[in-house]
Amino acid sequence: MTHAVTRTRSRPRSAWRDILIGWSFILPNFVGFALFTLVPMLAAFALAFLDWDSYGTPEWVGLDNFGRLLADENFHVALRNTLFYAAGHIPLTLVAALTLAIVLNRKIRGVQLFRTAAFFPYVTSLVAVAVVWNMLFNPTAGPINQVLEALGVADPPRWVASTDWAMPAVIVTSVWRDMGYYMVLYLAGLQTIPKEYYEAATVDGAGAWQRFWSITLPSLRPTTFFVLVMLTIQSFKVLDLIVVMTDGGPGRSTLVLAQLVYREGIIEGQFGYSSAIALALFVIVLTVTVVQFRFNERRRAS
Amino acid sequence: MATPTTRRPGPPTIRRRPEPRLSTLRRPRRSLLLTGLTGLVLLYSLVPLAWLLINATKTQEDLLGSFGLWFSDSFALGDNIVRTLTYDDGIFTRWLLNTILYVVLGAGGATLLATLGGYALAKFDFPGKRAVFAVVIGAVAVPNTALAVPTFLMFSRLGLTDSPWAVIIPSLISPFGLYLMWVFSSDAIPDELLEAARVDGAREFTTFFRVSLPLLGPGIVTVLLLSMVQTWNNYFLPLIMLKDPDWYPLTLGLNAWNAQAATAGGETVFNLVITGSLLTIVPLIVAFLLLQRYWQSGLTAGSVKA
Repeated sequence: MTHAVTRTRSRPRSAWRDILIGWSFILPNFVGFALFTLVPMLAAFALAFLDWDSYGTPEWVGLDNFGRLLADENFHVALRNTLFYAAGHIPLTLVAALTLAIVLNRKIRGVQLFRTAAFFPYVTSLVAVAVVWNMLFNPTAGPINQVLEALGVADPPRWVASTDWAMPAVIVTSVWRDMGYYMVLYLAGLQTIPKEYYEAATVDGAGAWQRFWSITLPSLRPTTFFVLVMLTIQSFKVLDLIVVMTDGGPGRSTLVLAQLVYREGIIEGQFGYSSAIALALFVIVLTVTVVQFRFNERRRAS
Repeated sequence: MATPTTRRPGPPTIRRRPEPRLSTLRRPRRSLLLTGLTGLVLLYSLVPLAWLLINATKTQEDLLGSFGLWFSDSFALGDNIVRTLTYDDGIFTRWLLNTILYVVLGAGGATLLATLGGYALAKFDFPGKRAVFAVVIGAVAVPNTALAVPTFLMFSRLGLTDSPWAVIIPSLISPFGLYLMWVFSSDAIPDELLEAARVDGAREFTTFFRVSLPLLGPGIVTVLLLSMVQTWNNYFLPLIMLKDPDWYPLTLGLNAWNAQAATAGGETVFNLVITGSLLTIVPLIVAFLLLQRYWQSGLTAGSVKA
């Protein structure tokens, strides 16, 4: 009881103390976010309406950059490639991560080690990833095609050397890299499902598949939503892997939006135009994410 | 403590699980399908790394001349490592030291800031808290590329491009780390404990270091490991900020070797690229293996309640 009294009496002082201490703890972070996220974000927004290359002086041009964007064939190609990548990367990573989580959610010896091993690709340096997979996908000397030929495939794809197969090769590589990370999230989700559900279902005579469809998947809905949103944001932002693995080639077959921003902005010095592309990319990501949230809320409500 | 404590607004807390480590489900029967799947996904995740390990033992000629997924007659791992470390006046060692510098200052600093900030968000009430949260979540969604041009312009105006600061300073800010530490702090530190320390007259910073910090161990390890991965493997930020190869981290350096190996005129150093890649990933793999208990439980904190 005395404790409660102390609490009420000291509240005004403690409120001030909370404010002061709270802000002093958070201040370095806040300054950082302001300087390196907020300010660049506002700057990018403003730059999109300017005509500014590395030589000239900035000039206000209104929506000109966006008009140029709509007519730019590179933008169309990059948008199509980004959507293709997302359409492959999002579902495949999700399925691979869920599969890994389910097979590694068993009481077998050394399962923790296996989990860590499945996480290794996520830790692997990007350049190493690109080097390894480019060699694996090598049309003649690579093990993938050697195995395919041994299995009787007469004319295996030329992967990163072909305009049709380069993007699928990139997708296979990126699924490999990311699945371990999302596996951990799914493993966490699996822990929240009460064991009694499974026991009751088994007593009722439900098979493994039935248990999966009627217990595991519905119970994992919150995790799946979180994974889906993270994967979507990540897929539309993809850049590093493509730069080191194919550099957008062969031709423009793996050129993505983020890479176009980089090319126009940093390499060509077209600060205004590249910011317009960045803004378009940001709007796309935001729209997709908002739609996902809406959809999730409606499903939860029903 | 019998007095009901008022809950502060903050992130929803995680349902406390009976045991901190990931537990496993007991399966009544081993199904054939599951065993087959296990084999398949483990093959998918491990074969590429096995390839890297195997091919780091080969000479330049054997790399293309022998089957990729098995050892060749020569065993040149030691030789390859020595050549990687000494090639071009030991530039690889320089890149390694640069990377360590960026990781220690960047990831270390990011973890420190995220811990302080996450703790404040979880345990103190102050105006502007909601705004901070909105900014943090927004920062996760913004594509790095969208910020690249303005950030580059800012640093070049400050005269900081082509210096280690251009890589270290932006690495200090980790929205995901801050978020994770917030969730972790509100779950791991009971309010009663802080109240007790305050009643005893302990100063806030003393309380933070003596009482709170030890409880945040697994969270800090997780954030530190994830920031380490980010900084150690950072490619894009150094790519736009650095021109001078003397300041390159391993990622940029290896990519330069790789590009050199791919062009017709350059000296083919594929075996060095492969051995270098192996050397690059070993430290992180060792760290994750040794600390697997911490991050496997720590990572789950941010996701369970999503």
